[in-house]
Amino acid sequence: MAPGPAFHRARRPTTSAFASLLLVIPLIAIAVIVFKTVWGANTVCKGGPFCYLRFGMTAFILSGLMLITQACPQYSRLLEFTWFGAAQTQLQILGFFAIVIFGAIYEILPRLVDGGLPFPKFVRAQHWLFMLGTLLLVGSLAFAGVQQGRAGFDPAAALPGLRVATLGWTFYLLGSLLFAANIFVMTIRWKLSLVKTVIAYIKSPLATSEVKP
Amino acid sequence: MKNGFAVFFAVVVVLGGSWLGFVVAPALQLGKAKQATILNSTDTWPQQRTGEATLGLQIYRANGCAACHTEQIRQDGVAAEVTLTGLGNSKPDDLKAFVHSLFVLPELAKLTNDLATTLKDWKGDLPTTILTTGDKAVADAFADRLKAAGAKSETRVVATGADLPRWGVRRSVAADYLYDFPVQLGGLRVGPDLANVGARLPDANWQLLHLYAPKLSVTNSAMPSFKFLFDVRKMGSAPASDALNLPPAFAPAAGYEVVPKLEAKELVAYLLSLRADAPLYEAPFSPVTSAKP
Repeated sequence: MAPGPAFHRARRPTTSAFASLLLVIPLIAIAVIVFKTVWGANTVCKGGPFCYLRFGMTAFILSGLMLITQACPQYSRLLEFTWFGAAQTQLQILGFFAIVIFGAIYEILPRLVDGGLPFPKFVRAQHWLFMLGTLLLVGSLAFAGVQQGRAGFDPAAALPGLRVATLGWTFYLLGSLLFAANIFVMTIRWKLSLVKTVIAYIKSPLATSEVKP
Repeated sequence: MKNGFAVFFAVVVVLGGSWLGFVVAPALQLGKAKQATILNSTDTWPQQRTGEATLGLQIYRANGCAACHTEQIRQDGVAAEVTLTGLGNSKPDDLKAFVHSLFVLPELAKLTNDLATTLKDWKGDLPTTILTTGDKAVADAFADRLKAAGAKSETRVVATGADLPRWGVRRSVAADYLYDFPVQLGGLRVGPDLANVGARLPDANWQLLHLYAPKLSVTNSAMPSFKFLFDVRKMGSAPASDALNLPPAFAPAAGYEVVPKLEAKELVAYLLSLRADAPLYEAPFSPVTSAKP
């Protein structure tokens, strides 16, 4: 129980824990929507932006469940102040938000610059790297959190989990490099094509109707 | 939209309710908090920090210490303890047999495991705490039975929680943070809780050594070294008075010495000012509630 106003921790479960538990209702609603739309769609997942969205939404529901787990007093006594909280944050920020935004960029940007991606295979590779990265990062951090809580915050207890989490971060780094390569080359091509258009415009001969006899 | 007003009203109630509960009510309750009075004393708590320690809070903040350290000790609940202080006319083995005979009582059913383990290796030395779990009513009932057998005992209500024996003597309360700005509560314990570190580890020299080389005193420490808070400089004719006394494995090259910068001294002054070791009305130390003579 953190130091705070008395009525927030008057009885167990505390007010805030109860409020967090109420989150289960919107979470179920979102889960139903995701199940009926993203998972029920006829679109086949071949590593494109749609897969990013599907994975991101699943991560969102899982991170909501983790948040509710932390709100239960009997679990929060073990998990509060451990790496489990960090695992939940990373699942929400990287597993849901970042991956959905990456998917959106892959979907929108090629249409905006009207050029197509220079390395289409990288999209699928990045999806796999991010999926593995999320699993390794979040899974190992959550495991490290439970170990840490059980061992009474002994720094050594969380160490194996943190080492695996570093591997997860490496996968994220590789995936982000693939993304950077794709976007960088695409932007350069787009700029060159703009210059080419301008040069072609300047070089083009004037229309004959404008030449005075 | 047919129910426009109803939707608007519902949104106002939901948002206004949370605002009242999470902003207004705590501000009314704690916004004008004053110093608390220490139990059985006229002294007030907490005292304003020294200037050096107040500056140290900013060093603590600037170095992101709150990312890995919390400043809050939690308490899970309370339990009643029964301590045996006198045997009367009975012998230890008689009392053991008597306590074992009480195990059939339904009100003591939850305590039998605890009592059996504490009494197993007891040789009759006093005072000894024979019951550590259970609520006040059960503990009182048990103490009454002991009194009937002629033994003397004390019942105490003690705070329980894994944080307490590890890092503090009582839980953290709002008054502890009266002079902290901003409050560095922290949310992750990579390292230990620091709410009571000034009382736990009061040696300023130890703190400086720990900041310079964490693995020196805590072999499995995960803390990074804060070497940039120290100057490594050429020694004069004699070592400076505040130079660190480092073992060879951590010492700089011969003829050099490690001297804490002002920031390190301020940070240590702040760490030593972190104390939660005064009993307050809302967070007392385990008091003796009743003694059965």
